[in-house]
Amino acid sequence: MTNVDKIKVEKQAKEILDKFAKALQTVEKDKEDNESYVEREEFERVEKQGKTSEEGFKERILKNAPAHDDDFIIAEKGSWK
Amino acid sequence: MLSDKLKQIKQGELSAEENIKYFLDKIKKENPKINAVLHVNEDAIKQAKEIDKKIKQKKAGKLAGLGFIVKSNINVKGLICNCASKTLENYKAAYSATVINKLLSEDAIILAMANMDEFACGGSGENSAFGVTKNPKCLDRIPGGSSSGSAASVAADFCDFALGSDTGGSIRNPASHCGLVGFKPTYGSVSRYGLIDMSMSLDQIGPLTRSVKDCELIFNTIKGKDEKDAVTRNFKENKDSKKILIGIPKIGAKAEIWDLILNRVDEVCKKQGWKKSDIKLEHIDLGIQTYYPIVYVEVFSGTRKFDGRKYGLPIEDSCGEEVLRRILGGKEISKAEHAGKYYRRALKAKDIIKKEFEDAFKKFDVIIMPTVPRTPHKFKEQISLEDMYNYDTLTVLANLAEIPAISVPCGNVKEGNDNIPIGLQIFAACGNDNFLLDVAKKFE
Repeated sequence: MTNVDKIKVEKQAKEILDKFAKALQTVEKDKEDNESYVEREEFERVEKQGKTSEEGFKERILKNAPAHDDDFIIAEKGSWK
Repeated sequence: MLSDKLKQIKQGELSAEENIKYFLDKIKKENPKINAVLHVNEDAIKQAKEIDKKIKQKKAGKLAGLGFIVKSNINVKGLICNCASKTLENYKAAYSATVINKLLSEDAIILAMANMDEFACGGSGENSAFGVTKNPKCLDRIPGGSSSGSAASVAADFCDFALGSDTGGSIRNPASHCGLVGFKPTYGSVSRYGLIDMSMSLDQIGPLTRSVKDCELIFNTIKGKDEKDAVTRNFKENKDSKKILIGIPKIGAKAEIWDLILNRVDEVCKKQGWKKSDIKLEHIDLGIQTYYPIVYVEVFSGTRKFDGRKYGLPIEDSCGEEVLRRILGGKEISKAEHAGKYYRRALKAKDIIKKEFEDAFKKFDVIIMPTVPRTPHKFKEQISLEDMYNYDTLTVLANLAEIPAISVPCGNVKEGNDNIPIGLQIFAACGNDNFLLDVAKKFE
């Protein structure tokens, strides 16, 4: 897809979202804002043993990586480096 | 009916190998015309032979010997799970989804991975990077989507059943267009562990089958709490299907489609002694407008992992137009959220719609309407983005309300030379999935 096409798609997305947002204006009146949150008595989670992954899982995952060095996936270096 | 085939297999009249071989031959011969299947499981025959040994030893599971096809966004260890996208073209799943493990533990056999709309973004089956899927019931019309390949596979007799995922109608919509049963279970009743998400607050895995009884068999195998998916739980059903009051909302849909639906409702009410009444759902027309802002944001968020480092290609450089539209739209919303203009407003509307359905189910046992308000378009027909989104206008409601919904075939509409299947959609209250299936059996 060319950059021009991408800009066109982005514009379309914005237009349709604006249209939908306008249609939903009425719900603002129908429903109050009610932020909900959970208050916990215990703040610290007890760390358990954890689970060991299935045999060969790491090898299977690494096979999908475009580039890897032993156990490490190689990502591109940032331009600042 | 799958129960009949299972009986045949159990009694030795049909082997698992014969069953699997029949489907693989059919896929080989007919898939080039339909394009429902992307990758075949090369080990299927070998696995069928093993199941046959277990059957002889009377150690086989309850689905022993049945063959199924999986939507390409559900991970199956060792098979290509590419979401029908160039982004993940050669991605081999490193583990299997919980639903897959449950079906395999009952000795069902995976035949193939199905075509679909790319990353489940679409409602027509036209958005796959590997070509459109044809509708086996009307070859020049769309099969619906996004579980297009799963539905077409069942309709083309490539398998005993298929798995799809439904975020806004992606199981029910193609089921309707292909003349099948498609079921979206209650949100949280089936584990999504191993599903490559499209919109995690709405996604649900479910079956596509030829009958409601088959659907029930598969649903009862895959449902249940899973510690790997935090939203799952075991629901307690609180209804039975003896005396039923059906709610019929006033909703815009093609007149011939409504006629079929209302005739079927009248027939069933007469036969079962059930009652029907009009129901008013005030915000029912806001489904699409509520659904898409939520989906756009969650698609943007969920696809950040496709940066080309761990697997595949960077998504923005390799995906199709509809996926990109949702990513860019979601990015725009996520940037500043425009003082709650899009996402927060949509979440409010979702709460309102959910509450409306909760209140409705205090009076009504089920609500019935068409699955899709129109007939499927022809492949070369030009269709606007909004018209495309409106295919899902009646199915998104169940995802927003988190309730179970099913599409069952209820007749055909004639258009030119095409005899197009039409689906009747039934909604029930949250957690009453088996009750809904019992009701749906009466509409077959």
